Amino acid sequence: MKLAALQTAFQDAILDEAGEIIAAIMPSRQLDSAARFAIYADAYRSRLAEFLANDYPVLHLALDDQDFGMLAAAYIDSTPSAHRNARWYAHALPDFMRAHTPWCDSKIFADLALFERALSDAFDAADAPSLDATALGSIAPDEQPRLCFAFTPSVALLTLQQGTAAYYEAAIENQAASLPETAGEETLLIWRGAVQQPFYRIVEEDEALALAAATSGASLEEICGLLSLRNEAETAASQAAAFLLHWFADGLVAGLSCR
Amino acid sequence: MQKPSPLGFGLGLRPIYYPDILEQKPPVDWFEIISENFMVPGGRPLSLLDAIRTDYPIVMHGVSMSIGSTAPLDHDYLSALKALAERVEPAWISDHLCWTGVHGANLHDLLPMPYTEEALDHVVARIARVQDFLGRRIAIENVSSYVTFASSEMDEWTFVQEVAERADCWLLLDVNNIFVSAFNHDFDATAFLHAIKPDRVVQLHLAGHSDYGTHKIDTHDEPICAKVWALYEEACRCFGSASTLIERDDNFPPFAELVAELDHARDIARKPHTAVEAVA
Ligand SMILES: [Fe+2]
Repeated sequence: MKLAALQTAFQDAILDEAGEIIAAIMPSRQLDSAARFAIYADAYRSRLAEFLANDYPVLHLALDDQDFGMLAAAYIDSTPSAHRNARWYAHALPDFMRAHTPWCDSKIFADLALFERALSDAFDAADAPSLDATALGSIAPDEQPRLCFAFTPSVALLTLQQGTAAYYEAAIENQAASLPETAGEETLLIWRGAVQQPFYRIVEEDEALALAAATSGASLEEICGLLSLRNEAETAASQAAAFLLHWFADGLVAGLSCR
Repeated sequence: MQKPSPLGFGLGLRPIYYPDILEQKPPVDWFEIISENFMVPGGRPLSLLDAIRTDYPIVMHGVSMSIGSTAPLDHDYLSALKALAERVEPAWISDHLCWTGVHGANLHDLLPMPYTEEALDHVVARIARVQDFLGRRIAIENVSSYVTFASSEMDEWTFVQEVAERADCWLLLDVNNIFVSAFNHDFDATAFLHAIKPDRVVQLHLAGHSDYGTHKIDTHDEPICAKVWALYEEACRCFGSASTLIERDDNFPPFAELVAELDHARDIARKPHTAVEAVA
């Protein structure tokens, strides 16, 4: 068999458990050809399942071994890896869950997966030095309304089922926790902070609104405008200022510009 | 053909040991990284690597080059590898004599080659292209394998030696892989060592494996066994001062245990034996 045909047959047999490769394999003294090939086929599935378990430990815990195993098997069947890095293989798991039953029927599991993925993404997102609030000193007062913000690449906002973060925290600390059942939502801000570890905090509605606008390029004036739809104009301005200082303190802001 | 200077006795750099390495500056001569683990946009792994490499020489060891595949060479991968090498300035770059997938898939495994003239021509041409692209010789490692292809026309060691000669690359001989494959394919491990010319060998790997009775698997989750140490002693006789590296990828012991294993390798390598290189 030519090299290209051999590799195609070998791979097909691993992915689809078809048997055509067996005739190309010699038995050993101890194992027949099929048993020898099975070493590769089994290793493929268990290796991918291990990637998933490594990247979604809390989801694994929430689903238990059996259900996580079922999820992993379904994902592996539907999704051959096209990535050189194990982490990228595991990356599409939350999207798979949201598109397939039974996982799309209970939002909390996919939300846990989304949260764990966001933490991994923050961990190795691109580096960018963050500014502290003194950088605001370089902006002339009359330019401040037109001020826009660039955020560090690790910054992400996720809206998930209420209680997702609390469940995650309890699970990580080995405390018993029950899955949240409320239908409400919470917005989580995730970023890579001090000592290069992922951080997260729950942001209240007003800050979530301001952050969503700021991360999509809104100016300070526009952010104040959004907040004033919900509060008095004066309150909105001081709210915006407080949020801004918090973002600087968290190390989220990488750049300032005026439109 | 000037071989890179020997680095001595090193360990695979794994995240679990970062604190030990950064806080204790242990007596390890060098570290080998898994290249793919550092092909990420940024963050802690890259910055810790920057810190560690101020104190230790680094070798880049990849698992995804897929040099034996009939799929086209992955230029994105090679560009990322080259960019990482520019940052890390490794003593050398290595990958495996294997393939990892075709038709766009990556099976995340070091899949075996048939030892045929066709495969030899194919892999030799690919190594030459990669070396041209990277602007340096690479080191190619023999893998553990669990099947023998009916189409093979030569011994693994003939194939490996021919690859090195014809592609003009270095060799990274994994002593444990030779041991594992010798059991699985019922060949004499020392015959493999004796068939390889020392002028190509820049590095040796040592690791533990799992014994399933009917076959052995290269799992890197156990201490190095006595028979592999014995084979390493023979490898030292054959290849003299080749840099030695212990790989551990699971069931991680305290770091001191790996340092002790490394000392054992030093003791074996220091034993008076006639290195082939010294005689030649
Ligand atoms: Fe190895």
